[in-house]
Amino acid sequence: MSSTLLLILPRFPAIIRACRKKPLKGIEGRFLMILVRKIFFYLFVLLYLVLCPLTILYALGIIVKPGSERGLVKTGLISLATEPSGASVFLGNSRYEQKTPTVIQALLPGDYKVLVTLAGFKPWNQIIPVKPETASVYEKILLVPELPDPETLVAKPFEDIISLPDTPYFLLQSGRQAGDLFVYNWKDEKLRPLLRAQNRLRDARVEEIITVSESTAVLIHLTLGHDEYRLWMDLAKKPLTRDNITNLFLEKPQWIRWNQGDEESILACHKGVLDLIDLKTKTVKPSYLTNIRGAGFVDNDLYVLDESYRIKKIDFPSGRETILFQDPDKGDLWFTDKGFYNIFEAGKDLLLFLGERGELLSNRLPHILSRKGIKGIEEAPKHERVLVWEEKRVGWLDFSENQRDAGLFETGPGPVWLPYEGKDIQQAFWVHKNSHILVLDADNIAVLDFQAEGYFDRENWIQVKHASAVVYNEENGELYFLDHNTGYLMRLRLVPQEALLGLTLGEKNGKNGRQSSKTQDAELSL
Amino acid sequence: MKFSYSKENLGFRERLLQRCFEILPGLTSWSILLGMIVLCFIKPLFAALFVIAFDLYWILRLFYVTIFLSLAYFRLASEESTDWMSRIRSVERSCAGKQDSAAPPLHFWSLRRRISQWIFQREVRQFLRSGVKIIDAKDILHLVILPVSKEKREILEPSVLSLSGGSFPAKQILVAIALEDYAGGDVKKAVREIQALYADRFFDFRVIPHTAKPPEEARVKGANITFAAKEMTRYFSDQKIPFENVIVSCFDADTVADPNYFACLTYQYLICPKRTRASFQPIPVYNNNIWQAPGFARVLEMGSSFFQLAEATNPEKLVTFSSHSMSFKALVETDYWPVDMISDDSSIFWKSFIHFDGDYRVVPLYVTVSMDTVDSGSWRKTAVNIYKQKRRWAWGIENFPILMRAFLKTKKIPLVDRFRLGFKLFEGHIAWATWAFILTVIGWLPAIFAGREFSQSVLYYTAPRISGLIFNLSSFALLITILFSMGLLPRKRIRFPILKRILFTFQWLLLPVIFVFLSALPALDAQTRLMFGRYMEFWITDKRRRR
Repeated sequence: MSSTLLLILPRFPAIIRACRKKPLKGIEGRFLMILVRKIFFYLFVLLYLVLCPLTILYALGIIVKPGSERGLVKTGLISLATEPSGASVFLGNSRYEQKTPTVIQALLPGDYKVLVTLAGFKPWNQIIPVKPETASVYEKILLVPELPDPETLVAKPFEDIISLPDTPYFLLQSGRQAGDLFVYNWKDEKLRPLLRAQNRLRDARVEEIITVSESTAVLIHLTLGHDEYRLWMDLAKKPLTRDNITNLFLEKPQWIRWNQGDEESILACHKGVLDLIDLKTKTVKPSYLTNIRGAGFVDNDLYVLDESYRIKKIDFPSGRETILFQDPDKGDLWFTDKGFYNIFEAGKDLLLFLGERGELLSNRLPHILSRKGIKGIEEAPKHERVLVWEEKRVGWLDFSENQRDAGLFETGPGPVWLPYEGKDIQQAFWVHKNSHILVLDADNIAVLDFQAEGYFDRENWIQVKHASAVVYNEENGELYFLDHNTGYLMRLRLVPQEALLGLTLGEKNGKNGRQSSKTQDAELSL
Repeated sequence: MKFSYSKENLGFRERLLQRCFEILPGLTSWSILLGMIVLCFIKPLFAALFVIAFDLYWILRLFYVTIFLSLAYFRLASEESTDWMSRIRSVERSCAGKQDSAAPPLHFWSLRRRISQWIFQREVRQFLRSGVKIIDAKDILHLVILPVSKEKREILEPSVLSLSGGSFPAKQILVAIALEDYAGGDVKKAVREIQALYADRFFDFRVIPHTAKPPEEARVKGANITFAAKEMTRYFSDQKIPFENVIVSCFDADTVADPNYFACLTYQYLICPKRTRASFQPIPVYNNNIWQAPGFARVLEMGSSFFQLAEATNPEKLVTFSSHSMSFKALVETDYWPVDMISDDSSIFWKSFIHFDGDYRVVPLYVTVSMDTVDSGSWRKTAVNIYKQKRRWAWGIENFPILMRAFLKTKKIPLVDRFRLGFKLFEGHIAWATWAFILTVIGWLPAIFAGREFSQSVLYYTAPRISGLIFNLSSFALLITILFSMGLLPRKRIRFPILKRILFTFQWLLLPVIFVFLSALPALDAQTRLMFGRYMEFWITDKRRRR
């Protein structure tokens, strides 16, 4: 700065002299304005030469440290954002003047104890490491209510909830008979019986309810005496349509799927044979595919794994086949689960294979993710993250490029298990832009915060009706569950309304996009 | 220096140079924009640092311009009530060695009058020191050329009336309507009617149809006014009127001169020591139909006025724009306006500057001429017409290659001047085409497309905050601009004046969008066309007035 001054200041007298002697040929009267312009010009140049490097250094987090250790010091920052916002921030023992969301700048490298508090919510605390020129980002802090205050939606006892992910509906079950089934629309908050009062199947026993992600159709398997019934219903249609398609099932199906974009065809698998049911013509194409060991829909394509360990992509319903993988040796090595594999998409060109015993494989490294025990998965395809859970633990897999192993031999991601000791984990959901995990463990709900590596906060604070499922909807940030004591349908807002405005469409859709595929397993075992 | 100020009939080397300099502006603008976009993706950190450095440069330059805009505005306001005729008489008395008694006594609180008087006294003293002989104001003749092609009577008539209604005697004003031969019958009829109606008010009123069109002429305004000026050269020669005593003002057909315009121009011409080596530039405002035009058109045209107002404080680099005046002698010596260029207003300055080996300048006049804001009847049509008008203005970059060729040839113009003026022309057009994009779109790309590494850097968080602070600071300059714009609005009676003025204030919030789509984009369009050799033709802006 001083050198700049030395460079420019001595020039001023010369400039003034020059302007006075020969301001501008022919228009001497403008001398003053020219002089003023030149003075301001050099002043602004000087200002820029001083301000620009200082601003850039500040932008990079480099500050001038006063005192005995004076000099340029590289600093870092902590960015904090909470839901709800407006929480107080404590840095060590001192209170930070701004409330969340906030950025605490010019922090010297080191570990900082950060405490975030908001009246009515559990405090959030964390030891945050600050590195030079680096931002430590904690922008998805979800503050959990100290005393949750769920709202009663339906004051009527139910036994279970059956989810229809990514639709405005879920089913409520107050008994084992078909007449005990109700449809709840969480958008208009209306409850209606699934079957009319005069329907003769109201007394039938519910054996199985099958749903598919993003589809408003349900397939219900009923038994009345020795007779079996399979009812196909579309909950979005008004009035509700009920098609008895029992005769279209040639064998007792082991696996049933339909494409959410094409609800006129159903695939039913029994003993390695796939039958194709055409709902439009009410006809069956038996043995559409044979020797099948696994299948799953990804967009409009059917992916199948056969006995010869070939993985085929079938454009559905045109039937055009593309063989993606054909290696019996590797297939034999990888696919050890003798049961049926469900195939899911967890990201672009990222397929997951979940066996009946809980074997989890992927087409990306490390291929074998778990040999057994995986009870369920939930993908966040946009972020290539997969939530996985076993009976007693929950964790995630991160397939995003930045998480790939940088070693000589790429090993790929392995499950990162949270230090959470579960009892009997039934369900798990991504919450608040994949920043938290909601777990239904036995009859308890826990919200796990895993933003910081190796850190989580156990929040055991809600109990649900014994053996009942829960529904979490990321679109509205609400959890639906049955009250532990009364069985009433309850609703608890987990993510504040204002935080939902920040969710992009992709995040909203991506969140629940694949959940149903797994939850269906739980429903199949009903 | 003898130099053909044209892109036509060039030798191989000259043609090559011409093409290189034609390509340079567009290439530079596109390189800056695309380079920045690419940098945002591959090195967002560098892009963010560049954006901060640029934003800082921009805000300082904005403040710098605002300071001089304020000075120019106060100067304009100071001269608002100046009696220029009295000053002319005062200068004449001073030159005759008589004591000047014309200066009215000033109250100490009349700051604006005092400033005006102080400047006047300085100017007279400096003129007297120069030893240049003054011309008798009675011998001065103003030639006003009004080019007409499709302008209707309601556009042209107020312009003619404004020439006769000023403080300067209309009998010393000669009106020449340069009438395009292809003008419609109704237009020609209207011109003749106006001539018949108002001719006796002026020294003379001539209608010069642009009939002969030699092959070197393009279908441009410059060809029309040059034809008229040549006709008038013969006229003055026949009448034995010295060219030095004639001041030619080239106006647009919709130009309404301030009542003080010709008095102020005469005064400045008289006290200018090298009066035949100077152009005289008034402040263009677009007030004729300002209340009828859409809001975005108002804001944009007001922006143009302010640009010119701020430029008026920089006589070293001032270039003629739109309606302007100059010595007829200089015009004849320079061989008139270029007949194959669209930007005749700025071209005539550059042509004169080269012809007189750099001994040519523009003297700012602190008096306004009012023109029409673009108004095509509907918002969509107006936006399209504004786009075309701004593209035509931005086509002024066509001067750059010709100027560069001339600058490379001549050694008589000091190198510093050549570099300074060439760079200003080049930089001005590049800034016009790129700044708005960088400020409103590209500047935010590093944050939007940040990768994981950049998004976890301190810079990722500080850069938008710094940019935000800079933009907040810029609102100070915007506020000053709004206040000045209110002061420049016409004072005639309108319906709902308060409501309209409030709306006018809020219309300035459209500035970022307007500057991208109706300023930077047409400028980039013009440079791109020049880069690819797709030369533009003159296009007449659609203007209308509602009763």
